[in-house]
Amino acid sequence: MSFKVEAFQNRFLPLGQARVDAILQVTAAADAGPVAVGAAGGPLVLGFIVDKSGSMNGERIESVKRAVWQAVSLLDERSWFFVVAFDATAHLIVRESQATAANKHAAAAAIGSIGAGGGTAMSTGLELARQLFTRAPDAIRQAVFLTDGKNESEAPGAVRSELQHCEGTFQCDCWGVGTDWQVGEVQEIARELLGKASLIPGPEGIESAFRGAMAKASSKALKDVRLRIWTPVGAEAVFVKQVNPTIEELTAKAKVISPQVREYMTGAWAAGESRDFQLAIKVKPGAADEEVLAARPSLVYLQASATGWTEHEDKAPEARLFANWTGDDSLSSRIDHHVAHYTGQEELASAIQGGMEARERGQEAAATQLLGKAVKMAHASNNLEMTQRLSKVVDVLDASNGTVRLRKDAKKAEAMNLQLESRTTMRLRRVEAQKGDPKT
Amino acid sequence: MTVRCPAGHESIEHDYCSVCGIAVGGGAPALLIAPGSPSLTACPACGEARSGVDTRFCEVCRYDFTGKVPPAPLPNARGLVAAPAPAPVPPRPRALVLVVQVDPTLDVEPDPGTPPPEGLGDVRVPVTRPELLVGRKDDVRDVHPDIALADPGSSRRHAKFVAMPDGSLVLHDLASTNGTKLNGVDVVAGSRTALHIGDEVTLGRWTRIKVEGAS
Repeated sequence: MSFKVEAFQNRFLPLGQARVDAILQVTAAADAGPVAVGAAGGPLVLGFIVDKSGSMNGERIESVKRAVWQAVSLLDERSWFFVVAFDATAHLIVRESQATAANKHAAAAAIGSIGAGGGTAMSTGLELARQLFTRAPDAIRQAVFLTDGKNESEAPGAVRSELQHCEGTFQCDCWGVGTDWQVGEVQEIARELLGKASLIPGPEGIESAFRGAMAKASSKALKDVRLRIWTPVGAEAVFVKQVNPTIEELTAKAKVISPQVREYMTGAWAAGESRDFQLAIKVKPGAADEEVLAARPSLVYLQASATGWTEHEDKAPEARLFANWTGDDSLSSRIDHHVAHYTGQEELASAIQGGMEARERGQEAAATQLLGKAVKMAHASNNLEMTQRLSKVVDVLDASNGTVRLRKDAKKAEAMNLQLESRTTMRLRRVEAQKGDPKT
Repeated sequence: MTVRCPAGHESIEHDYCSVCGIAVGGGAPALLIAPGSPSLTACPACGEARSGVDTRFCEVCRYDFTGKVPPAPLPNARGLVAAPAPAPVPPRPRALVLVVQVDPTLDVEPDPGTPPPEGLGDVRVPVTRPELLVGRKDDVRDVHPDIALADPGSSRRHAKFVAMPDGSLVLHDLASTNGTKLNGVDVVAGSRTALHIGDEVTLGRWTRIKVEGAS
């Protein structure tokens, strides 16, 4: 067993109610271990996709080159890497190579020769990386994407259609340097490729960002981890989403295994990694005191072994979700604390997103109202981190009532950071979770 | 190996049906004797003994031992509420035995999907404990009756046989969904009724329990 799953729900439903809401807390075992030495399945391939357009000229491109070289030099000898640079087209700087001392040495010269110039067509870099990753079907395939500008040298939609090809081929974390890039563009790449988008204020931050990405990629122990959900005949998943550490919609990405079984890809996991998922299942309403199993979750994944990657399924009988219909309102009226918590976190995220979009369009009244609502919710749920981020964009006059004023002096980087982090959630703290949690 | 769920589906899962999700309940042998759980405290609302330290609700009046919910009224599916006190019975020096049988002729609405188990002889359960719970075993809900039935018509906690200090035996219906009959007559839901040698208790779709004296 590599995964532990805990379910939180109020299984008691009022008569006639068809929807079962629940949170699943999934944790990879601490001893799932990094990929075993000499695993025939092939270890990690780390791909760098970096912007070399004209705007990168100077300190930025030099920092990127140093950062790529730093990260490569830290790679374990069993890992593989490649480097792609793009402007209006893609350039193969270092083809896929094992991270041996000799190959690292050769790569250093190639990386050093990168010069900035040209336009920005992000889909070309993604396409070349995809072709390289396709040659390593058995590895954990992780990319690092870096840009500093708008995607202005290609038709809108080029990235989206390329992402459809990339999905499932590799995972990608994205960084934007400075503030001249579009949050939406970079976030779309990260989200489709199961990664995170972040802002690096200046060139000096690139090195540590890449070092972190390298460490994160090397820690992955289990790959192609899928959340598998069985539901009874006649039931359907209204939605399935990841809700922690970030909110990610999974419903539309479901892979239909059989009429009753769907799988949701969650990518590679590190040992000890923990994520929360929220499910809403619609079942056929039952009679009083009737009980049905509404969902049977399990985790399907590939684990490295001496003979390669082998597929496992960890069933989680303790995390089965039930529906019990009752006429007793005192049982059915309670909302599970975890479900309520994440419902609130999602409202907070959409208030921030809506507020920031309105702010960008210059709709000050709408922006003030939505960001005020966000401040109120962040304050009420004791989310200090989000309260702090919000206060960089609005002056908080009264947090408990959500009275705010848009800050005229808000820095662009802070506004971008707020947008990027709006879908990051915090977990329900233990104390609050235990406080009168309905034991079901 | 598949099992058949009460709705008649072939289920590849043995806990809940892999088609419709209702409890399969089968899988275990038709009758088996499991160790009973000791009674710990009494229900403050109706005086019924709490059936286990982790039990949340009183078996009879659904009082919540965690104190969060006021006691709900006694279920009165068949129109009656109060549980009459057990009638005094003469001391019974002889030890009693409950004889549990599968009787397909009791099954008034036979369902080809869930036929009565065949080839099970009588199971004799000596009354050696203060209480014997009768019902459908359910590992998930942690219901392990002393007399575990694979009868889909029985409730998980269907009834109890209570040995009184004076040696008499009392049938205590636990407000079961489909009810309990004593000598062919429905007993009041939730009631306690004194039993005598020769009495026959029937419940579920095909279960008969006879009261006999130990030979």
